Amino acid sequence: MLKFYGSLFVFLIMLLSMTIAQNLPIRQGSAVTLNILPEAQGIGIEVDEKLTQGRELTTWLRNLDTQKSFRTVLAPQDDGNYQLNYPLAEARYGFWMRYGTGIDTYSEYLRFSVTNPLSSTRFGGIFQSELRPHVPASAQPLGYAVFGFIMLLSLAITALLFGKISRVKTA
Amino acid sequence: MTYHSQAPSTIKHQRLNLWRLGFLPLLALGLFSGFIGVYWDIAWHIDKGRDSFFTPPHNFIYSAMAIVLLMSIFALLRDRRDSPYHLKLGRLRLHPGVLLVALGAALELLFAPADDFWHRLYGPEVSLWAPMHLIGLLALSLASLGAMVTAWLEGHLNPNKQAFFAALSLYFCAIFLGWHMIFLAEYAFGVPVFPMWVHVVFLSALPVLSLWLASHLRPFALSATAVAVIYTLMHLFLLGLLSFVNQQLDWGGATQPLIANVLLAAFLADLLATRSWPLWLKAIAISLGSFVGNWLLFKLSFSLSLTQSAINWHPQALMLGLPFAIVLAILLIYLAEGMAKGLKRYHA
Repeated sequence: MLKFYGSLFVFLIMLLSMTIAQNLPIRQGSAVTLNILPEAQGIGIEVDEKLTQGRELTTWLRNLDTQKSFRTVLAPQDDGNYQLNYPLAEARYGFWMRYGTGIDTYSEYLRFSVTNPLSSTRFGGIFQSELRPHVPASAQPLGYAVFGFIMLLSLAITALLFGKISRVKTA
Repeated sequence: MTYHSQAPSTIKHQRLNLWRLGFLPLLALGLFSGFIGVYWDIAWHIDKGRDSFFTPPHNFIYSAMAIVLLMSIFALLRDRRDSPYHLKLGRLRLHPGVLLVALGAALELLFAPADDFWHRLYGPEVSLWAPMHLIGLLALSLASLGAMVTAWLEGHLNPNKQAFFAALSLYFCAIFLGWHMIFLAEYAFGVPVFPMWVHVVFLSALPVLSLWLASHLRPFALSATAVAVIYTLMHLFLLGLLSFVNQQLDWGGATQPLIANVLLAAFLADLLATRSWPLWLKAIAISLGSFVGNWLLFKLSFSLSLTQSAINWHPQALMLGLPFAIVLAILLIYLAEGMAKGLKRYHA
């Protein structure tokens, strides 16, 4: 039973490590350019791939006139290029984007208008870190270590109590 | 429906039970309130930000947990039955299930100030999987597992009410499922901070734990399906409540989570419970059931415009996520099997 709990714990730590490994501090936000696709059928997004390192981009598009919104996660198509396929009606839009994992995330919010004919098709910005500047890189791994310890302790207590229950017949 | 459980003859029949004592009704209400409160809290953070510690959803969660903790302590002190399940500690007779509930509730309340301190130190947290949040979710999962164990054992301490307590244990199993599915709430709300392949892993594998536990304990036929139905109803209630607090009180809730579809996986778990397949193969089947069920639900919800967010399980996420999901599902089914055997040992 102990071996089993050990392997489960190792597996969960491995999963966490993989996500934390993608969380090494970058400390510099990428520049971003939005391109309204022809006939306003969506948005092309260009970022600096060296900084975003091919990560997924969480996007949140809000029609500021109707307050209708749409959220999705985009995977990069090639070096730093993403594409959101979503027909844009004539309106003012707010577009929020984020990349990074855990507490090391970068976000940018841009506003643009879609008119007919389009008066402008390119909009630019720079991702800003969502983390306070003084936070040490070790904060999150340390926190996860505390969580791992408490999880192990909880599993051990649960196993002990289940052991007690399962021994009832032979008691 | 068939009822399979038998009571051990060694237990003295005593009049006191934890339902009559008021512990189990309050626990049922408290854990459900906590479940609702956590989703409401996430919606509040998305819609309104983190303005202070004493927000309505925080007050809701922590009041519920405080009541659960106080009732657990009361039950630990008041319950003096001398059954083989109870742990002897001086004059006290500690019910193992209640002990787990108390530990979970205490851990949750202990980490509430730690979470607030973390926020003050490091700024508004953008991830549900921040260490302090994970400790809170672990604590609540522990409490709901304890509740399920309590109800199950009460059935054997009160043989004349076995069916009632077995049904109650399935309700708590649905709460347990709800609590460990909250780990995926960021994906459900469409604002994930971790990669999409992790969603594939956990959404496919996590339901295996509680569904196999229910189908293996099998107090009734289709127990896992019953758990999945209760879980789905809880979610529908949650969506209604979020709409209400948003429209009537302006207390967040405009952003709503996608419901996880565990019905197909649950039906498979019930179907496979009596089959002689290897356990690892059953784990793969149930996790693939969860994967397919959820994938179909995402497609349907999006095509019918029932949701504002689109889950994008892109090919890279699937290639990395599915193998991990299968490994985790196999580990979890063995864990569930071990727990269920522990609870049913005296039937051997």
